[in-house]
Formats: sequence, C-alpha cells, structure tokens
Amino acid sequence: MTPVPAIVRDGMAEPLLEFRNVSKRYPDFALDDVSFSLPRGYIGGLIGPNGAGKTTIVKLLLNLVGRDGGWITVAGLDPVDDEVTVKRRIGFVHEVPSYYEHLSLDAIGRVVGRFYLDWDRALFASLLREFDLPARSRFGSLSRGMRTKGALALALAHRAELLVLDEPTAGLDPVFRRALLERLSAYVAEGRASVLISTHVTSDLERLADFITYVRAGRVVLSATRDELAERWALVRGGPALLDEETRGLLAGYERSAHAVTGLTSDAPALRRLLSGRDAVVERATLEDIMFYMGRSC
Amino acid sequence: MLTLVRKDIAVVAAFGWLIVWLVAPSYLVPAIAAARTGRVYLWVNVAFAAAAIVSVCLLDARSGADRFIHSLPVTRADVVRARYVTAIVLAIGVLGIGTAVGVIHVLAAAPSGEAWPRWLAPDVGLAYVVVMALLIAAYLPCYFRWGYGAGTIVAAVLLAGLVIAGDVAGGAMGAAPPGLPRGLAVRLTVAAVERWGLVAASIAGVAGGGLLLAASAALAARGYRDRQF
Repeated sequence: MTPVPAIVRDGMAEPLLEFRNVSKRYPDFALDDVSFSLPRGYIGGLIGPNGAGKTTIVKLLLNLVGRDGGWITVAGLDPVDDEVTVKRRIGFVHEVPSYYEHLSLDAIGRVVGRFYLDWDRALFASLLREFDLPARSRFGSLSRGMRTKGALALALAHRAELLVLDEPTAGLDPVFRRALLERLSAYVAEGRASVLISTHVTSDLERLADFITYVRAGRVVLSATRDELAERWALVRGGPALLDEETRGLLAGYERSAHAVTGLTSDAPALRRLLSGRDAVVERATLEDIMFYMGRSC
Repeated sequence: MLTLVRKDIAVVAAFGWLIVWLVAPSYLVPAIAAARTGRVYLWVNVAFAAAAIVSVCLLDARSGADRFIHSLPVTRADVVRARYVTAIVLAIGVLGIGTAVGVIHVLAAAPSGEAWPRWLAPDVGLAYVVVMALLIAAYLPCYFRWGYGAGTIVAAVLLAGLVIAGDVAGGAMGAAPPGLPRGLAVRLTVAAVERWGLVAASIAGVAGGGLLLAASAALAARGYRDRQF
C-alpha cells in the first residue's frame, strides 16, 4: 500500500479528502489499491500520463462510477452513502465543461444556484465580470477556455470546500492560466477549502501543489508532499561509469546512452553522499522528470 | 427533487416559442377537419407530449449534461423521480394546450346548440392520461438504463409493439365509436366511463396510471443505479 501522507499545518491534520485502497475494474483497465489524502487548506495534484486513471479517480469521487473496493471520504463522509451532503461541498470543473448549450451563463447560474445552500449570486455575477465572461451569451457559443472559466465561476460561487479540477488549464490563455493558479492559491489560503487538480501538465503544479500523487497504469506510484519531493527526489547526470551496482540501487529509473546516464533517485541525500567526489551532477527533479524517468531503465 | 424538476422546466422553457409558432397551430389541422379526423386529435396530443418528454432527454444528451447533473447535490434516485414528475407536468401541459385550442375552435366555429364534439369529450381526456402513463412508463426506464440513443430506440420498438397490439386488440372489440381511435387503451377507458361514470373511472384511471408510473420509476432507478458515466 502506498503511504498516505499526513502533515500538520497550523494544527490541522484532518484530511478533507481521503482515498484508501480504492479499486475499480473495467474490462480493459483497472484502478488498483489507490490511496492518498489531501488535508484541508491544501492543493493536491493528481498527475500521470493519459489513460493512467486520473479521470477515473475523479469520477469515483463524484460517484459517476461505482467503486469495486476501498473507501473514499470527503470531510469524513462517504460520497455514496452521503451523496447529497458530499456534493454540496464539492465544486467540479470538468476538462470539457458541459452544460445546456442553449442557455446563457446567467440562466445556468440561476439553475445551478437553486441546488446549493451557500450559493452566492453576487459572487457569481462578480466572477463573470472578473473572468470577462458574457453573462447573456449562449453557453454553446463560448470558446473552450471561456467554458472552463464559466465552470470555475459556478464552482466558486457556492463556496465549495473541495474544488475538483480535471485538466483545468487546457484551452486557457497564458494570462488567465496564471491568474487561475493565483486564485486557487488564494482560495485555499484561508484554510477552509482544498483543491484537487488532475492534470498531465505538470508545470502548473510545480509551484502550486502542496501534495503530489502520481498515478500510472491504475496504481499510485508516488504520493508525497512537495517538500518531500524536493528533499528526496533528484536527477543525477554523469558518464556511463555512473551506473554501477551501488548507484543503480538508489535509482528509481534511468536512461542510458553511449556517453551519458541520467537517472532519478528517491533518496537524494544518500546519492549525494555516494557520489561525493565523483564526476556527476545531482539536481532538483521536476515533476516531469519524475514522470518521465520513474521505472525507466533503458 | 423539485429543484431538478424546475431545472428540467427551465431547460425546455427556453423553447417556449415553439408552442406559440408550431404546437398550437398544429392542433388546428385535426380541429378544423374534426368531422373526419377528430380521432386524430388524441394522437396529436400524445405525439406532442411524447416529443416534449423526449426533448428534455435529448437536451441532456446533446449537452452531455450527465456529468453536470451528477456533480450537483442530488442522488440518482432524485434524478429519476424528477424526470418522471417533469414528464407528468409536460403531459398535463400539452393536454391543457390541446384542450384550450380545441375549446376555442369549437366555440368559434361550431354552430350554437350543436352537441359538443366527441373528440373533445372528458373520457377522451382520460384516455389520454392512460395512454401517456403507458408511454412514460415504457420510455423512461429505457432512457435511464441505456441512455438517450439506445434507450429511445428500444422504447420506440417497445411502444410500436404496444400500439400495434393495442390496435389489433381494440379492433377485435368491434367498430370504434365515431370520432374515437380504436386502440385498446382508449376503448377500455371509454367503456369504463360508460360503466362506472366519469368520476369513478377517472379515479381508477389516475390511480392505475400512478401505480404503473411508480413501478416504472422503481425499475428506472434500478437501471440508472448501475450506469457508469
């Protein structure tokens, strides 16, 4: 089982979202023994290649598909047993937001607002203005980026405790993309809400996410805090001689060519000690490096 | 659940202009030629009500609204129940429009003192209620189990079978009264009104339709529970 990270900030350790040993089987794909958690007041990143199972995890959380095993809790409640209460606390932005194409954002806001006790009409209107969205245009006439902004406004306007964003930055212009990431940081800063971002664009998460869960082929292969990743994970570069038995034991993956070796380690301090005085460079690993090199040996 | 019904109504209300420009004038065709085609009037009502109900489901499917609906704080059972209520509301709405257009036409066109046309009689309205209960009870479980595309095809085949069987069975009961369709549901409803009176037959018809819809909703909820989105 993958360890469930638990850290304390300002005395808070309560996981707002927790997956424990969750499994889901399809005829051609299986999500197996998925465990991770996200405390209140933090941003979690769910990364992995296409088809890794990230969207299935999001679907399980929203009860769009039924799980075959394990436990999921949101603020201690099961999304299946307490579906309505849990969904009141979740704001969801899908990769391709789909609402009624013939309705305006204004009308969609009126429809959606009735479902939430904490719906803030004024906030929704101000978000539409802030995001530069035409309130009276048909949803179907909006660009993909504008749809995402609209979905985000809907999710924020009911003051969700858990924002779940599935590939949120796809289709967004760079200016709004940066503004969005800043807004998400501000959203969790009060310590009341958390954000789970599922994406394969790891650059979005480098500075933003407090927790990273890496999913590959339906399994969680890494779940850690950003600080743990920075301390423990590193990239090492050197000549072919670098790849001896001792070094190889400390590498989580590597790539070798005729003249060079690039490897990934999950124990940077030990590797630094081992390579002290040798002709090798140990540097910080980005999330993309981790995704690329983990489990690689060629 | 009522919030979901309001959502459904808001979604179709955007097409309200269709009622003014298409639906209401369409009633005039059978109404004007009522002497020959009065029996069609009931089926015009049924056709428009069916179209309205299918349209709500179509709008969901066309917009890919499943994910949106399931991200809202509602259960799947709520979604199913709400759609049944929406279907009933739409069926009643269409009956209201059809009756209003028919009454206006009769008052404006029929010579004074002439008997009220058979096709606009209360027992035909009750027959409409029974037919719509059957239609909704057959369509929505298919929609919730297989989705809009496959569900509508399955329901269409099922309903076509029911219409043919009902027509054959009704025909076997002898010639239909003038101005009335000969289908079994209509014949039985009219016979029930003749035997028990309008009030008792209406209570029986509405109660029977309600029970049928409740059973159908339970079946739909079971099918929908297992759907994966």
